[in-house]
Amino acid sequence: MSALQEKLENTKETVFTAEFPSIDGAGMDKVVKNAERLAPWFDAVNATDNPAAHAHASNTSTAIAIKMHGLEPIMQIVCRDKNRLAIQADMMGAALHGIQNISLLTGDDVTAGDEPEARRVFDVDGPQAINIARILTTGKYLSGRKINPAPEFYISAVENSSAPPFDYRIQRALKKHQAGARYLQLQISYHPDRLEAFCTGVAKIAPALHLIPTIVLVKSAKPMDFMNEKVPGIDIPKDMINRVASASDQSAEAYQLTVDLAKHALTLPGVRGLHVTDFRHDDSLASFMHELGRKPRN
Amino acid sequence: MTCPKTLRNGPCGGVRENGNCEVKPEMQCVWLKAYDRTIFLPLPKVWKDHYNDLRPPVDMQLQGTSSWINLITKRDQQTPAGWSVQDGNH
Repeated sequence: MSALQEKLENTKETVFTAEFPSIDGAGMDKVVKNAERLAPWFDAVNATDNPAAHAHASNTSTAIAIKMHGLEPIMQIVCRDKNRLAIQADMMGAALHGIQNISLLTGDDVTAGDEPEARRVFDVDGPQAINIARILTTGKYLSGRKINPAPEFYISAVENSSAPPFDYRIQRALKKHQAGARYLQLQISYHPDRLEAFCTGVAKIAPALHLIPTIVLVKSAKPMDFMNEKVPGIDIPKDMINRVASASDQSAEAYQLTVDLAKHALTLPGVRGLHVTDFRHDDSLASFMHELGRKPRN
Repeated sequence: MTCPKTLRNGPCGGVRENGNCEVKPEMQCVWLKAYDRTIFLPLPKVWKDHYNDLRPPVDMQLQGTSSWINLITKRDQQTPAGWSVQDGNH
């Protein structure tokens, strides 16, 4: 059982996860630097799989590097770039290296990235990939071929609480739970009302499904504008962007907005923790975590 | 199926604020359109509930064959042997 699973399933403690930065040219030095920065605060970190349809060091290699440096990885597997054989190979590759936390996503389309001319795969979609991960844990490949012993996974997924059709998103969370997901990391939401309606609804129909909303630390209104314009499925209300843009100290205002959103999210039904994406890359992470009641680990 | 991402299990997380597709901004999300129809069309509930079923991966061997014949022969209901196994240690 992974430490993350132990904490989510057998305790009531709040869990904090983080996005591990993508690795390009800087090699293991960058892995070490980020692992040292994140390790005191986070229970596990996401090893992403070509996020926003941009190529980087692979999900499996990043997850292994994270594990080597003492942090627990949550290895994402995205359906955009791999067919069902490659997806199962990723899962068994994770198992080979003792990586148990795997997160299955449909993934942004290739048009969201810098190589829009690429072939999109989507041989399976997010809910199907979740079911395939669960099938592997029964000791079988999708084909029925035996795996002995069966790999152990702690399966999760991602859902967007704040994209249309809003009321259906609750049903979709249940679908992913029934397919095999034990917790959901939620897409960034700048709509506290939508997030609240989603979490309340999910807690009613899937009470065993743990929810981990995402919070993004930014320094100014500019990255908020970027996310609003460029990132599929993210909408940021104009008055929220203006609140930061019109402040005399944008950095302080953006920080306070994030704290407000985080504290609200932690009060919602079914919410067991937060996922933090840090675009500030400054010393505010420590004060942010302190404000949320998290003490650093040794 | 006109979803540009060929998804089979409902709308992805990329649906735009106006309900349009992530890939084709000028087109309404086909899964959102289907969802709206489950609400306003006077269909039996058992049909409407199919929207929430977990649909299996597409059998690519059937590409280019007649969907009517596959429907009648139930060839289109065949799934890989592992698809329907239950439980596991997840």
